[in-house]
Amino acid sequence: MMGNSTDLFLDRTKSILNFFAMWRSFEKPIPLKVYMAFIMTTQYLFLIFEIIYIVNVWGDMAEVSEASILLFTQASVCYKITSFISKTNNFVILLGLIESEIFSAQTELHEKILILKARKIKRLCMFFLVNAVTTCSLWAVIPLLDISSKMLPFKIWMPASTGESPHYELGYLYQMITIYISAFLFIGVDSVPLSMIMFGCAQLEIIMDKIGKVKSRPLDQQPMQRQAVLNSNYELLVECVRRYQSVVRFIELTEKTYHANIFFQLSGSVLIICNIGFRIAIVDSNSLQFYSMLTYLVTMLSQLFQYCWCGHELTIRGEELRETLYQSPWHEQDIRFRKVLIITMERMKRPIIFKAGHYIPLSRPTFVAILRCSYSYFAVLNRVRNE
Amino acid sequence: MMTKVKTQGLVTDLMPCIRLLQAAGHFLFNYHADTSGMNMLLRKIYSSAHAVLIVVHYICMGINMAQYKDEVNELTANTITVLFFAHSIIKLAFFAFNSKSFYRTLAVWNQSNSHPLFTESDARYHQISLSKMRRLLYFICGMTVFSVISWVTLTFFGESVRMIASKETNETLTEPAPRLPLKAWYPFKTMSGGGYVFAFIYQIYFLLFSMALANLLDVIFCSWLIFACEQLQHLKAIMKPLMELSAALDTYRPNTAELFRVSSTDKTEKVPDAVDMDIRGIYSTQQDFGMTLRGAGGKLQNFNAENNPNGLTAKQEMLARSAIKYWVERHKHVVRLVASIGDTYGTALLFHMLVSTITLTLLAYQATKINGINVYAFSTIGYLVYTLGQVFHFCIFGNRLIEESSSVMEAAYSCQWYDGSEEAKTFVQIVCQQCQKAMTISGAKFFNVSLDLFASVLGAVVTYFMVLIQLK
Repeated sequence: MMGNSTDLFLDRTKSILNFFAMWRSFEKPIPLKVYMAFIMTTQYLFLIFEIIYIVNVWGDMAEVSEASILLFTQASVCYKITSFISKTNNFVILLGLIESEIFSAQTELHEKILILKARKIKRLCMFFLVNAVTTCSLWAVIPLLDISSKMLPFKIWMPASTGESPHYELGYLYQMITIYISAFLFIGVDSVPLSMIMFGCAQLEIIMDKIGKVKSRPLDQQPMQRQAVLNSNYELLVECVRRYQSVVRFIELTEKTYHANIFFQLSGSVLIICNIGFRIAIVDSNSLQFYSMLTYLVTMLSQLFQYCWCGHELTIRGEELRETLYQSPWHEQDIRFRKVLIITMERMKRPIIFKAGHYIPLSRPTFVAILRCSYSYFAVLNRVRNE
Repeated sequence: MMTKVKTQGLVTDLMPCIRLLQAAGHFLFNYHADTSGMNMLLRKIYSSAHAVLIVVHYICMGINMAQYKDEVNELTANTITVLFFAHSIIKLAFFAFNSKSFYRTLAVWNQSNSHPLFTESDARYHQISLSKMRRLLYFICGMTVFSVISWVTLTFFGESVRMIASKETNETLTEPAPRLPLKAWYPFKTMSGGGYVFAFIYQIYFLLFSMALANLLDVIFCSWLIFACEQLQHLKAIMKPLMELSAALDTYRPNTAELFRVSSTDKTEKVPDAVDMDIRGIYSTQQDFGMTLRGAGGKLQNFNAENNPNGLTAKQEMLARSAIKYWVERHKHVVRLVASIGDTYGTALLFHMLVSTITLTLLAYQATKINGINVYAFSTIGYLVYTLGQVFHFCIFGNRLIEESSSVMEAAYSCQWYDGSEEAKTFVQIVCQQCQKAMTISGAKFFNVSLDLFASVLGAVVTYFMVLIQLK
C-alpha cells in the first residue's frame, strides 16, 4: 500500500530541509530556530563578502568574472531560503491540500500514476544534486593540488588575512562548508514547487483515466438500464470536473507562493550562464578549472531545464485532458452530460500555464529563449574582451 | 512463392512508398508476404549493408573535414556538406530506433467505421487522397533524381581545386583535388585511374541513396497528413446531409413558410408614424410577443402524430442517431491519427530543424561570397534551395492540416443547425468546441509545423545575409 502522497513526493526534500531545520520552521522549538538562523547567516555573510570583493576589483573584467561565478547563485539561494521561510503558511496549506480527499487515489492505477511521477521528479532532483556536489568537490580539490600557494577556492573578501595556517585552513573550511550548505539548500528549496507541479500532472492523468471509464451506451438498450448508465456517467463527469477545479486551485496557490522565487532564478540564470560561458572561454582548456566550470554549466542548465520541462508537462497534460474528454462516448449520453461537457471544454480552452513572476511561462520554448539571450550577452562580452 | 501480402488501411495506400523505403535501405521489415527466416535474414543483411556503406562514406567526409579544418573556406564548405548529409544518417537511425511507433501509426486506420448513407462520399475522398499521395511521391522522387543528376553534372564544370591560404604571402593558392562530386578522404589514390572510377561510382550511390533515405521518410509523413486532411474534407462534406437527417428528429418543427407569411402582413399593418412613440401600437398581436411559437394551440405549430410529429418510424430515428455516431467516431479517429503522427515524427522534425538552422546560417555566410555566375554560385544556391525546399515540404502540409481542422467549425455552423433537434444542436456545440483548437503537429512541443515556421526560417536567413553583406 502506498504511503501518503506528501511522503511519496517530498520525502527526500523533507530530510534535507529538516537537516537545516527549515521544514515547517515556525513549528520548531527555539534551539532549532536559532540553528536555522545561524545557517542563514552563513549564506548571507558569504554573499556580502563576495560583493565587497567585487567592489574592490571592479574594472578588471577577468577578475570580476572570476569573482562573480557564485554571486548570482548565492544571491538566488539567499532569496530562496528567505522567501521559503516567510511563506511557510502557504506551504502548510499546500501540504494539507495534497492530502485532501479530492486528490485521493481511488484505484491501483491511480497509485501507480502517482508513484511514477514521484519517481520522475525525484530522479531529476537527484541528477541535479549529483551534479552540484561534483562541482563543489571539484572546486574543493583545485586548491589542494597546489597546497603550497595557499590559495582559497573562491576569491572573496576574508575578514582576516589567510597567508598562514591556521587562518588558511579555517578560511578554506568556512568557504567549502558554506558552499556545500548552499548547494543542498538550493536543491531542497527548488524541489518543493517542482514536486507540487508534478503532483498536479499526476492528478490530471488520474482524471484522464477516470474519464476513460465513461461507459458507452448501445443504441437499443432497455429504458431502466439506460437511465442507470446515464446517471452513473453523469456522476463520473461531475466528479472529474470537481477534481479538475481543485487541481487548478492547487496550481494557482503554488504559483502564488513560489512565483517570485522562480522568476528570480530564471532571470539570474541568464546572467549565470553567460558568465560561465565567459569563464570557459578564458580558462585554459586542459586544467581542472575548465572541467569544474563545465560541470557547473551542466548543473545550471539542468536546473533551468527542470523548471521549463515540469511547467510544460503540466500544460501538455491539460491539453491532453481536453482531448480525452472529446474522445469519451459523449454523443451517446443525455443532454445534461453534454451541457456539462461543453462548459468544461470551454474552460479547458485556456491552458494551465505556470508563470514565473506571473509573467514568464515555464515551457520548452522559454528554455530556448533563455539560452539565446545568454548566448547573445556572452558574444558581446567576448567581443569586448578581445578588443 | 510470392503471395500477395494482405494489407489494409494506410498500409495499402502507402505501399509504393513503403516498398521504396525498403529498397533504399531503411530498417523496415514488416509488410512482406513471405516472412520465412531466410528471407528476413537477407533483408536485414541488405539494410545493414546499405547502412554500413553510407555511414562509412559519411565518416570519410568527416575525416576530410578534420584534415582541412585550418582553412576557413574549406571548413565552411565541408561543414555545410557534412550537415547536409547528417539528415540522412539521423533519419536512418531515427527510423531504426522508432520503427514500432511507425508501425503503430500505419496501423491506426486499420479498422474504420462505415455508414450506408456516407460510403460514397468516403470512397470519393479516399480516392482523392490516394491520387494526391501518388503525385507527391512521384514529385519528390523526380526532384531527388534531378538533384543527383545536376550535382554530378556540376562536378564537370569549373576547376576541381581546393583553396588553401598560404601562410607566408597571405593569399589563397589552389591545390589540385580529384574531380569528384563530394570532397572526402579515401585510403587509396583518387586523382585518376581505377581509384577515381571507383570513388566516383561510390559517391553517386551515396548521393542517390542518402537523399532518397531522407526524402522518402518526409514523404511518408506528408502522406499521412494528406490522408488526415482528406478525411476532414469528407467529414465537412457530410455535415449538411447529417443535419437534414437529424432535423427529422425534432419534437417541434416550425412551419417556416407560415412564419414568414404571417409576419409580413402584420408588419405592413402596424408601421407606426415617426412621432408615435407608443410601443403598444407596434407590439399588439400575440405573434409579435412570440407567444405562439412555444405555446399550445398557436397556428404555427404542427402536431399531426402522437409520438413523432413528422411521422418518423423508430427505424428512421435509429438511422439518424447512427449517422451522428458515425460522424463523431470518424472525427475522433482522425484526432487519434493526428496525435499518433505527432508522437511518431515530432522528434525527427526537431532534429531536422536544428540541423537545417545551422546549415542555413552557414549558407547565408557562403552566399555573401558569391561573385559571379560560376560553379560556386550554382552550388551555393542549389544547397539553399534544396534545404529550404525540405523545410517547406513539411511546413506546407502541416499548415494545411491546421487549416482543415479549424474549418470544420465553419462547416458545422454553415449547415442548418437551427432546424435540428436539441441533440443535434449540442452535437454541433461540442464539435465546435473541439475544432476551435486546430490539430497541429509539433516538433517535440518546441515549435508548431506551419507556414509561420517556414516564414521565420526564411526571414532569419535573409536577415543574416543582409547583416553579413553590410559587414563586408
